[in-house]
Amino acid sequence: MSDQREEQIFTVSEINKLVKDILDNIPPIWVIGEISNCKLHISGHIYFSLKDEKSQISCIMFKSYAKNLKLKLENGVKIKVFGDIGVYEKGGVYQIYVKEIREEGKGELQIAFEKLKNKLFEEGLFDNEHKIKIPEYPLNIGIITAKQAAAFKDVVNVLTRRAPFVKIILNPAQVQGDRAKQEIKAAIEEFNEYNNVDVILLVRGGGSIEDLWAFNEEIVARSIYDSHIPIITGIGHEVDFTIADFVSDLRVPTPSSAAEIAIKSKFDIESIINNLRQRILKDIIRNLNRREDLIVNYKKSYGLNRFVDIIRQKRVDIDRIHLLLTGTLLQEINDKLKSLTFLKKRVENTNYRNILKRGYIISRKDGEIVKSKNDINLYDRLILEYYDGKIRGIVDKFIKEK
Amino acid sequence: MKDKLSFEEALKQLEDITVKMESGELPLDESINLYEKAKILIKYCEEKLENIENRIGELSRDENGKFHIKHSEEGNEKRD
Repeated sequence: MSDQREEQIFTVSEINKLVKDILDNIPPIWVIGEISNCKLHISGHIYFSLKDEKSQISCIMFKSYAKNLKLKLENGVKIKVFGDIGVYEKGGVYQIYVKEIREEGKGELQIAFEKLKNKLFEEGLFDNEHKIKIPEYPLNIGIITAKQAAAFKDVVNVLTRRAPFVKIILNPAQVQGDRAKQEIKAAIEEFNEYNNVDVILLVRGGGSIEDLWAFNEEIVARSIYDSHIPIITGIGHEVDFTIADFVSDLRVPTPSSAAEIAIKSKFDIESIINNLRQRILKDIIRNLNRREDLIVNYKKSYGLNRFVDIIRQKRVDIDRIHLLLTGTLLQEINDKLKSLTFLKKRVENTNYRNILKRGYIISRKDGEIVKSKNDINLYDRLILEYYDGKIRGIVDKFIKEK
Repeated sequence: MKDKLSFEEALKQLEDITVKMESGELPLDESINLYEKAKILIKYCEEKLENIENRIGELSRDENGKFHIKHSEEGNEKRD
């Protein structure tokens, strides 16, 4: 054992390095105490000690952090510092590298906060079943905040940009100071009485725990709980949680995100409407197409085509009848023509008798008209036709021409 | 219809109509009726979206307890 101890001898640097490594593992912490021995160095760094009744610890706040410090550091003042614990190896001292300093007193507020939070939690004020559903498309937006607050301007800016169609109704209330809790409560109640907003945004910009304290008051929590209009809280920064946030129907990180998250933008809603419009149009077209298909099918159906067929048949019939009719007509015309020829012959017959009256005769041999003396032989019998009758004669001599 | 129907309800109805139409075999005339209704709802919603009148107001109450909306931009007052 004694040998081991002798082997574990460190140099000063080594032991300080070892201590530094161990202390570096402690996460950033809040430490409460009184300021003592405070010195503002020419470099801009602040050196001081924190102490309580029994003990003290060195602190350094580098210039980069110190320049944001609004608090005036005076010896004896109780503060809370936030930072890392580290070792200054050169001096062999450990100290707090302070990043933020807040005035004390917050401890009491923190206790009050926890106490009220537990109480209301036990009562069920934070239960999800009591949360009112935030309307998806609120048109009338009630806002509770201070009239001149940056939070109000933020919300108005976001809404003007994203959702210019919404109506913004401000019910101004102090959001800081003694009157804040009563004014916030009254504003919530008034909106409920007015009953003409779809949602209430209860908003306030960032600040210290004291600044935000009104939102940790029981009467504010209860009036949020009692509201029948849904309330969205956007209070402080992302890291700040107030009692109001726990009891509200929706908590968002910041005032502007209340407007961004809770209210759909014009673009979003237009997309939704367009989507619905297209779906409806598509459906009506589909429905119409279906009817058209039906009609096409009807057209092809046997039932309908039977009639078409019948009509076609009838048309053929008509053609045939037409032909038939014209055929008969032709026949009639032919008949008429025939009788016309017959008549004509009779007319001609009548004519040659007139010639006979003038003294001419027609001679016939064996019923045939004789047109030349060469057709006649001696002793042939000839029938001679006069205009008023016929006689028979025998050829007894050929007379020679002079 | 217009005065009573909220924007929310109008969009809800529009969604219902879409779902109903998409569900399938509606008779054509019912389908066309729904389509006509949808057209009205869409127009109504789009009009609401375009409306930017009296955008910012302040709630106040007179001595009789009546609510008023003060439109600071126009400087006029509208009784609700």
